[in-house]
Amino acid sequence: MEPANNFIDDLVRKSFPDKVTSAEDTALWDSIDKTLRFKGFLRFSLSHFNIYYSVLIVLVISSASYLIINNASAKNTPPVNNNSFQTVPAVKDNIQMDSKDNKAIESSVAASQNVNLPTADKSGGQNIQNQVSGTTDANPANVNNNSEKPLIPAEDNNSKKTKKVKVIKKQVVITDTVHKKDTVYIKKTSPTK
Amino acid sequence: MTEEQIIEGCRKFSKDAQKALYEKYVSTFRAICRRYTADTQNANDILHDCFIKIFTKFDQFTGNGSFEGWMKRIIINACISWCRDRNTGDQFLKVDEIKDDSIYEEETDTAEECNDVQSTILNANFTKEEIQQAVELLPEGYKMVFFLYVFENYKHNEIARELNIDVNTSKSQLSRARKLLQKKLMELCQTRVMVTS
Repeated sequence: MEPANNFIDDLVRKSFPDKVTSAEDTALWDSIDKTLRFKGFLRFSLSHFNIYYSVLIVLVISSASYLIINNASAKNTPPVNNNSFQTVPAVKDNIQMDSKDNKAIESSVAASQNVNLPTADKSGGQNIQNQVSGTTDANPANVNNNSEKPLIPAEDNNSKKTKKVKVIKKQVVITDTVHKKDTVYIKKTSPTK
Repeated sequence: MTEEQIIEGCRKFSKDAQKALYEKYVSTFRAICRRYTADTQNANDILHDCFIKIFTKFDQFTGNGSFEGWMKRIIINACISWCRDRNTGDQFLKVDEIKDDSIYEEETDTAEECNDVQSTILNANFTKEEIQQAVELLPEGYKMVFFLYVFENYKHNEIARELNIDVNTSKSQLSRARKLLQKKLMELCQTRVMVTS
């Protein structure tokens, strides 16, 4: 049996070519080269540009642009409103006037006791008091003059239109002590008819 | 460029070395792929994948043994995988279950009858195309074992390991492949005689 088998093997071996050339050799190499370049791009190498270098470049550019944009926006922002936030020099001014303020507050409280409170409570139950500011009413002389007259006139039935004009809340920080002043509302009444 | 220069160049991912390797071996490897696929397009697809694998996994070649043998093994493994995928497992794995009664009948033939068959086939002067067609008609599993044994010079234990089959199965498949091929060539002889007469 073996000789017959061997002759079949030889016959088949001779009938199949050892080499097959094709016109597609160049196209196949182009395809292989393209794939190799892509795989080379994904592989890290110090000598060749690859995905790691490109990621590094993107990170550097994005972080640099982020910093530049942040700096530019910081320059363009408007200054902080002094009414809502006091800078350190303003606080120092208030500290100097603190003793005057206390006197003004005491006088305004004394004057407010003369006011007919039930009439004031009609307007929504809010405590309406004079504004005690650090500039105008801080003068004790003015406060004394005003103390003779009621600071808040008694409301007529016809003058129910009230306006909340201004609300100022101040915090003065002196080292570790916080002097907190009460919120003061100013009630402007319409002229009596 | 010598083979040593090609190997060194490919280790350094040199384009010139890679192209030189491609040009040197592409026709040989295409012949292998054509045997298993019998189709140029599929052969080119396998070649493409194999060359990429060769170039990117060049560090796996330790230098022990033949460089061409290492590459051929990659090509043959890719061809086996391709055949396995194409046949979706069943046809390929159950190839030993294919039974042809005529093959078993011929197993009982005497040596004299075998010599007659041999002389008839050899005297028929078959063309290469006729023999290739006869081989193509073999079942996929028979053909695979036959090719690995005849062309790649694999031993039965190597075939069994590559195809994940038993060694005895490999032997029986090779024997049946030869018998079936003889039968087909004899049929072709008889057809020729009928046409001429």
